[in-house]
Parts: sequence; C-alpha cells; structure tokens
Amino acid sequence: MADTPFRTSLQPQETLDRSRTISFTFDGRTFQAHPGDTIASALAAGGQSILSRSFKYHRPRGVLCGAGHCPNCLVQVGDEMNVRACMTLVEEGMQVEHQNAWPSLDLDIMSATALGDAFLPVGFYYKTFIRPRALWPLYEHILRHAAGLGKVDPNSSPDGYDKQYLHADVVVVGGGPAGMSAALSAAENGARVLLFDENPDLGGHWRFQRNQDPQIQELRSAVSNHKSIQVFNNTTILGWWEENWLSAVWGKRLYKIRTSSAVFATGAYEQPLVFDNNDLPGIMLGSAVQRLIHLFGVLPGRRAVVLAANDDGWRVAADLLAAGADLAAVADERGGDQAPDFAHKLAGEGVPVFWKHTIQSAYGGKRLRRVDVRPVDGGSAITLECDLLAVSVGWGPANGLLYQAGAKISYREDRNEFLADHLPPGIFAAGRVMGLHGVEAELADGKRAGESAGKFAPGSLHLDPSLRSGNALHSVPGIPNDSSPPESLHVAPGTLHPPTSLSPRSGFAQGMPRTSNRISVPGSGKQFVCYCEDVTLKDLKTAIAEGYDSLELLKRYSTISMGPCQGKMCSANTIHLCARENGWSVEQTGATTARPPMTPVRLGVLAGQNMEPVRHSPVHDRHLAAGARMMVAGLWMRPEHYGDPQAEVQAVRQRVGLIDVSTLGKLRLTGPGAPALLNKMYVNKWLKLDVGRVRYGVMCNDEGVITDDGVTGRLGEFEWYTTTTSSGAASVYEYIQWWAQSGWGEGVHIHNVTENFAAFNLAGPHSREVLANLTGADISNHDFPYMHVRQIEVAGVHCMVFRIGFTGELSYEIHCPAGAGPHLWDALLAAGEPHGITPFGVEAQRILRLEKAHIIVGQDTDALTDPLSADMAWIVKHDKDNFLGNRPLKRIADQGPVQKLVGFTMQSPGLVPEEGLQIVRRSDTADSQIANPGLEIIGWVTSSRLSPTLGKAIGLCWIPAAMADTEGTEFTIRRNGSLLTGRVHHGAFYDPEGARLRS
Amino acid sequence: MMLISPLHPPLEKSGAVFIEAAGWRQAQSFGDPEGELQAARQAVALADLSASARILVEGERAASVVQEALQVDAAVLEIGAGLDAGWFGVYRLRPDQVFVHGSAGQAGELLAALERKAGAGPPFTTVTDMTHGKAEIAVIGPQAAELLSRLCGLDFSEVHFPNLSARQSSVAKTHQLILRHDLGDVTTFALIGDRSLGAYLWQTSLEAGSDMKVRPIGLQALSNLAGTS
Repeated sequence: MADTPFRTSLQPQETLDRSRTISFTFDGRTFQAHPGDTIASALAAGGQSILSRSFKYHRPRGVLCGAGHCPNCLVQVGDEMNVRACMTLVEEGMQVEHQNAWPSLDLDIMSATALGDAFLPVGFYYKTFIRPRALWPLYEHILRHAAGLGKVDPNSSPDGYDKQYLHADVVVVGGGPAGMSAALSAAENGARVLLFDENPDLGGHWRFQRNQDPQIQELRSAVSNHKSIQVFNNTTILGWWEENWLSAVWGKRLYKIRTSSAVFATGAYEQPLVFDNNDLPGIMLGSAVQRLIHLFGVLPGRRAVVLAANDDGWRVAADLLAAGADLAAVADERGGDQAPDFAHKLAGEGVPVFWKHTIQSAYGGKRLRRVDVRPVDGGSAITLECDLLAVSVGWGPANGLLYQAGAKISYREDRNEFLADHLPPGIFAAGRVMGLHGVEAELADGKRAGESAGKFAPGSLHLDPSLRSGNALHSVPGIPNDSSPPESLHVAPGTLHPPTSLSPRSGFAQGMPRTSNRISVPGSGKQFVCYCEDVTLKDLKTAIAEGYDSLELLKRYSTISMGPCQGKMCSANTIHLCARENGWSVEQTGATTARPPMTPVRLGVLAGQNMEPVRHSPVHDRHLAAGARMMVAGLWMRPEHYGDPQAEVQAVRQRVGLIDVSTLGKLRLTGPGAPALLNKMYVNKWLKLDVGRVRYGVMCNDEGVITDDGVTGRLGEFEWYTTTTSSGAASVYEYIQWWAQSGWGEGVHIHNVTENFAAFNLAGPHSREVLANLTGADISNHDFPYMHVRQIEVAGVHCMVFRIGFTGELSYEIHCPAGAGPHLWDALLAAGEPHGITPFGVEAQRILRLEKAHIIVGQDTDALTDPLSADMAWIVKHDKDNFLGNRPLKRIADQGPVQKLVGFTMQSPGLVPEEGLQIVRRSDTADSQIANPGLEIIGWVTSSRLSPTLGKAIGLCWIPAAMADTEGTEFTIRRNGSLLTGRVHHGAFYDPEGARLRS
Repeated sequence: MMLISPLHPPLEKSGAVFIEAAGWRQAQSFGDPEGELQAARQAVALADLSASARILVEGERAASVVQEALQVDAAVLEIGAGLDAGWFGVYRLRPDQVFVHGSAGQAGELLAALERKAGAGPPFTTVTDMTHGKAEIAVIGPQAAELLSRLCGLDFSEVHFPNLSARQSSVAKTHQLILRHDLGDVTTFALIGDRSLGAYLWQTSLEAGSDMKVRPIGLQALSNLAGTS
C-alpha cells in the first residue's frame, strides 16, 4: 500500500475528514485517502505524478488545472471512462485505472510515436497514411488503437440516470463571491433563485485561499439558509438555449431549467503558458497548487519554482512556503515595481526572485526535474532544479455561457481579456467573468446583477417592467449599452485600474490586470498549446502557413479546442498566436464559437431514465397467463399467437375463436353534424345510414391516398361510433379534429374513446351459440343480421356488439367498458369451452383476413396508394358531395390506375414468397441492367402466408394494372436469385360469396 | 362482476391486499398502512385512483350544464381552475370543456345528472364518461412536486400549480391531465391518462422516485390521510 508522503499538516480550509482513512486502487496499486479527497488529490498525496498519457504522443501527464477543465487527469473508474480524477471523490474500494497507455502508464510503448512525429504533422490524416489505399484498414486499426481516451464497456449499467425539470425566477451560475452576492440580492427582491456551482462548496476561488475574508463565510451562510435560494453544488451548467432554457448535470442527473433571468458569475479559467515541455508532470497552474494545498492538504512538490505575471503567483509562492515546500525561485515577468508589497516581503525573506524573467524550458522524464529561467527580453538562462513549477500568468473569463446567451463579447486590450460589452434582456453577468478581480468589487458587482435580475423576474416583489425591453436595459446600472464606453461597464468606478495595494480586509489586491499577454516563449522542444489533442505551437504555425489562417479554419484543421477541455485551456492562447502569426490584432482575429456542452457529459445523462411508453390492453395479464407470445405493434403489446397460429386459424374456421381487439382506435361522434362530417372524411356515403346499422369505410387524404379504414356504427340519432386501425387511432382522431375545426365540424363533437372500451372479436361458426349463453338478447340472424350493431348485456355487462367479419366467419365484435374487460374475456372463454373455443393472436388474424383478401392499411398500402388502385373502386362514391380525395380519385378513375393490388397464388402451392419480394419481368432496357441484369422490377409482394384452410400459399401483391385485370395471369417473383411463378387471383380466396359471415 | 383497474397487475406485483369497493377491485393496503400513511405525509407516495369517476362535458353550454346539473359555480371558473364540491371536483379545461372528477362508484349518478341537463340544448352538449378509459395515479406528499419534476416539464410550485387547478402536459412521454387536489394539507397531484399506459406510468414513477423512497399506498392510508389532515 502506498504511503502519503506528500500529505501536509491540517490546513484550515481543507475538506478532508482525517479521522477516517479509506483505500482505493490505481492500476492495481493500493492508495490511502481520507473522505473528501478527490482521486487526483489522493494520488498526489501518495506521490503518483503521472495520471494519464496524452492523446497523440502518449506523453506522461499529471495534474494541470485541478479544476476539472483540462484533460490531464482523465481516468477509468470501474466501467466508466473519462472520469475527471480532480473532481471525483474517492470511495472506499474504488478501482481506478489509467487510459490510453500500453502496457502500463509508466512504460507506454506508444510514446514512441513522438520519435516519428515527422509522420504526424498537423492534419496528418490528409497527408499521410493515404496510400496504398488497400492498407487504410490497417492504418485505421493502428491509429484508432493509438489515439483516443477510455474504452467503452458494453456491459456498463444504464441504471441510475434521470432528469429533472427546474423552474426559477433567477438562475445564478457560479457560487463565488459574485454569484453568492447575486443570488442573495435577487432573493431579497422576491425572486425564486437557483444557484448552480460545479464545486462541492460555495465560495469559488475563495475556497482555496489562505487568508479568508469573513464576508465570504457570512455570505455563504446567508445564501445557504435563505428560503428562496436553492443551491446545487457539484452541478455544472452545460449550456444555454433560447428563452433562458439551461441544462445542467449533477452526477447521473440532467437538469433542464427554465428561468426568467440568469446571472452568469462563472469566474475565470487560469491559463497556461507555452514553452518547451510545458506538459511535464509537475507543471501546474497556480490555482491547482492552491487547491491541492488548501482543500486537500497535499504538497504538490518538494522543491518549487513559481512563475508569476500577476500577484496570484506570489500568493502561490507564499502558500508553498507555508506548506513546507522549498521555494527554489519566483520568476516574475513583471518588474519589481509592479509587484505587491508582500512579494517584496517574501523576497526579503530570502526567496530567490528573478524580475522580468520567464520560463524557457522544462526538463524531465516522468516528472519535472529542472527548468531554465531566462530574462523576458532575451539573454542567457539559469537552470533551477525543481520538481514543481507553478504557473500563474493570467486568467481567461469563463464567458462561454454568456456567448451562448447572446452577449456581445469583444477583446479589451487594456485587460488582455475577452469581455462582454452588451447583454441581451434577462441576462446579467458579474464578477471575474466581467473582468473584475477582488472580493469587494466582485461582491458589489454580484449585488448589482442580482438586484437587476430579481427585478426582471415576473415573480419579483419589485418588478421593474422597464427591464423587460432591450432598450430599457440600457438604463440598468452596470449593464453596458451601445452608446456607453466599455469603461462604464461596472458599478464600482475605478475597479478596472485600481492601485495594486493590499486590501485591508482580505489581503488581496483589487482589480489589477491579471492576464499576461506573453503567450509563448521561443524554444526548440515540444510546446503544447492544446493538451487535449496534443497540438503544438509548431502545428499551429504550420497550419497557418498552409493557409488555415482564420481562427475557425485553424480550429477545424488542427482540432484545437475540440477535445475534452473545449478550449478552456487553449482558446485564449490560440487566438493570440493566430493573431501574431498573421500580423492581426486579437480583436481582428476574433474568438471561436462556444457551443454546448460546456463540459464533457456522459451519454447516459443525456439519455436519462429509460422511458419507453408501452400500452397494455385491459386483458394483457390474461394473455401472459395463457402463454401468449407477445409482439410490439406500435406502442401496444399484442399476442402474436398462443403457441400454434395455424391451429388458431383452424379453430376459427371450424369452431370458435376469441381475439383481443381492444387496440382498435375508437371515436365517438355526437351531434347532428356527425353524418355530414363522416361523409366528407370517408370516400363512401354516410347520410342515410340507419340507427343500428354498421358500414365499412375508407378514409383518404386530400390527395386520394388511403390513410385508414374501419367500421362505423350509428348508435343513436346523434351518436356514431367509429373504429380505426390500431396504429391509426391518434392520427385519425387528430385528422378528423383538424378538418372539424377547419370548418367541417358544425354541430359535431368528436371524442377519442379508444381507451374507454375493451373489444373482443368472437369469431367462428359457433360464435352465436357462445354469445347466446351470455345474453338474453335475441341475436338470431334475423334480429341481429350482418353489418348491424346492438347495445345489449353480455355476461352482465352493458356492451356494444358489432356483427362484422374481418376473419370471414360469423363473428361478433364486442365492446365493453374497459374495467369490465377481464370479466368479459373470462366469461366468453368459459362459455366457449364446450365449443372448443381458442384464443387467437395477430398472426392467425392476418392469415384469416388474407384468406378473405382483406387489406391491412400500412401493410398492403403505402403513402401513394389510392382505393381505386387497391381494387376498392366499389367504395368510392363520386355521386356524393365533395369529400377528401374526391378530385384526385376522379382523375385516377378517368385515367385508370397504373398499378393494382391483387391477390395471387403460386405455381408451387407450398412455396410462400416472403413479403417484400420483387415482382419482375424480362427486359433489355439500360436501367434494368444495373441491379438485376435482364430484369425489370414491376411490382412487389405485400402479404403472403400459407393458408391452412386452403392448403396453399396465397398473398397480395402490386403489379401493373394490365396484368392484374386478368384472372390467372402469370408473373415472376424474384427470390434469392431464383424466379418463382405466381398467378393473379381475383376476389377472396375463401368463401368469396361471404355466405359464412352472413349465416 | 368486479371492475379491474389498469394498475391491477403492478399493484398485485407490489404485494397489494385487495378489497372490493364501489364495484372495483382496489388495493386496500400494501401490508403496512401506518408506514404508507407516513410515507405520504413525510415523503412521497403513489396511489391508484383509477376507479374514480371521470366525466367530460363539452359544448358551448358545458359550464352552465355542469353548474345547473351539479349546483356548483362552474361558469365562473377560469381555464385551468377547479373547485371542490365535497364529493366531486370540477375543472375547466377549455371554454367549452369541463371535467368532472368524482369518487369511485359515482360515475353513474354524475352522468345521469349531467345528461339530463345536457339534453336540454340547443346548442347541443356532449357528456362522455371517461371513467374506464383512464388510469389515475395520485402522487401524494411533500416531495410530490419533486418527483413529478423528474417526469414532466411543468412548474409544480405552489404559485404556478396551486391547489384545485388542472394542467395538461406530457408526463414520462405520455399525455396526462394533471389535477392538483390536496388531501387536507398534503400536496396531491392526480395523473389522469390513457388506461393502457397506466402500468407503464406507475412503474416509471416508482423508478423516478426510487431515491426518495416512494412507495405505493392503499385505500386505508388514503382514508386515514384524508381523515387526519
């Protein structure tokens, strides 16, 4: 087990519970940690400096930012890849492994790629590994193996992901001084506030500072205890969308947030410097050093060099000294006259200081060993032995969300920062993201922004309507407008250029310029601009020289800013380098577009909880109990069969069967206008259907294309009951409603009552006897003939019974209140038992209807099928008033259909051609040579089955009308390269006169 | 004959003890009525209210038909607002659509009263008994809004979804009519949607609230909840 040699004494701000020790493994080696440790902090405490290998060159990488922004600490934890070790708390027994290295993290053979980097220039995939083409699969295999991040575990559990919707008057993003101040101010203006922060505690950068300002603790407490503020720690905002719609991620949960206004107090990202070997483990940003010391009690190195270009670097130096490090030197790019007093005090205590110096090069293998420090203006370098280099050269405002929200962002030469200079209505910003540094300024700015946001929200106690228009925004304090100069940006005058004195309360200098404009130091080694994709300074220069000189082109060609950091570590440097290489200003160069997600997000988070609605019939459990094989039909689960569909067909033909047709769409039309509406919606006539009668109908759209079919019964003077196909219930209802509300709905109400009724079809020659056992009503053929409907009691349940016959047998479709469905199903089966009743499923129903040559809309028809071509000319009544499809159907009738749907049998009766097979004929046309040499496709099979009743294959198919019109015409079906012969069959295959269903 | 709720299979799987009430087979408890009551009062619970009466009245005269038939001030209700008449509730869904929500077994009585008045048109009014076509899941307890926020994009806060109000929205990718009808002082939302989707929505709701220890409760706990609130 690894010891923790780099653990410091207890730090005042640390988040560890040192009373407990837990253990975990990294690449099989056991490490100790305390609750509160991140994986990275625990590994650092144990002396593990390499956490990963780089994307392309497989160079060793260690902690760089310590804030979850860079790619350096991505690891595999269990079945989850690309876990940010610096943001993930250690858990007892956690198994952590490295990614993208073989055979081990310490000895990675793929690091040899660095030797062949002449073959891997920027955009190498456009230049090398292209020829010979035949070897590309080999190249691809090797490249894919060499590059990339973690490996997907196909057995990974999808459980635990979910999403939640949140609503607020004001959303505040960022829990630092400005964010907390904004949240409190907004809440005190009566707003419902949600505060999001990616860290485990509020305080932002103040969490890891040695000298704590008491104001921060008071503010933290006030925010946490305010009843109108809900704080979401460890939660990262992923993006902003129209109308203040934001998303955020917390663990495995995705939040979708709607807010009236938003305050972005997102702070700033510390930026790295570009110099030779600037990626060695042991080179960290200054804020990462502070996080390790103050939050986790870890000394990041024993002998340190600090590079400063602002006062923060000196604080890092002071922190290292206090934590017990040997400070080899502080190099400050500024002159001593620009440094704060406490820097001079440190210098006076014997710390070697190099004013106006920077870092030339770093050296080391798996860990930093020394650095060369040289004067900024050139000159000879001094070599310093060290195992830690803390780099504090500047900050880049985290303005990606502001950009997405529509803020206009421009470069401020005086600050070396991109800052928002115009905000859209409802969007506010505060703190470091607006270029303010120093607690007083940040607090004041947050208060101003929160107050404005609170007044903007409709729920505010002090709603200010003037804030809701774009023009009115110009009057809001602190919000810039087009006519005011950028200097008027903030409420605290002078905060942009204050003296660099110590704050009397915090010990922090107020509002000094923080960002070095020194981006790179000339050198000859590898100088990394992009840590994610291993893009070097040389790569960028090459790309620009090749003509990719605009920033967006440069990004796409070099892939810079397209890795896990999404530009947080590289964008600012790239912009400066691009500007310098082209001889442009930074303003002219511009910035790349910030797009969501702002941080890498697991696909499971985007997918959320598995929600796949599934519909169950009222007797679903009866089917399961009967051993049905269930099938998916749209959203419905339906019994495909109960073991032997052929036997089920025989049962219906010879005895009696029962099928659950509850899935049928059911519409209730009421009012005097119902028949007129039906007359327009269906191609046949409805005005004279008597009460108690039922009629089959076909519905077309206004192009004459069949959209649905079903039966409609007239239940009363003003009450009609229509069934649709199972899949068409919702769409037919919407379609009828659309036309009704467009002027055809006078005097009619339409309700979708699909779910109100269970429906069962009792079919077969014995069905009347079965039904008669359960009802006192007269159901004789005389009193209840074919195509009639009766409302009668069956098994004590009030039912609508339709005498119709999709199967071609005497049958009754019984509709009852859905809650009574199980009772009726059981009663029908019990009553049918003496007659050998059998439940039958969808497969048997399909065979039965095919024997009758009945079509299924959607199976035998498609998006171009009209009823005339579908051999249903008999149902189209052109001698009635206008109806949907009337004119196109008249045209088709005049011209005659080109193709026709027709029944067929096979020359080889036992051979069933699969549905979808092509029907072909011999042809020598050029077109026919492409897919099927010598054959022309003239049709296709839509339905086919072996009929157990007839003992031969039957089906429906589309063929040219001229062929279809003649009974017995032979045609050719192409199947797996062989040609089969089919014959045209007119009418039903079984009981063509319909005597059985009328019996 | 006993009427069966669409949630019967999942309730049975959860160990429900069934009784017959108002003609329906309903879950009396899940073996721990006191624990169920506490869950509803302190966290969140689900109950099957599919046996409730649900009647839709449509037409230009819908509100006045309800007002005259049931002797309530339905005509003054704003869209989305409801009223509690003791043994039933009334919610206005559209200018021409009113939803009447009653206890189990009351559908017939309500239907008869409404149809009597509806028949007095013109303009004609349609009364539709939706009782059998819907599953109804009550989400009960102080964490009810949070559970629902994991399934639905609506704002369930007190301000935007007060007691005795109705909204229609997608819940777990299904269309639902959502009623807020608190049981005494306990926040209660009723999800009313297609019967066939009831089992799916029940299971999905349980999964969404698993970290909140959501649990199903029966009639006994519901009754106690209403009585002790």
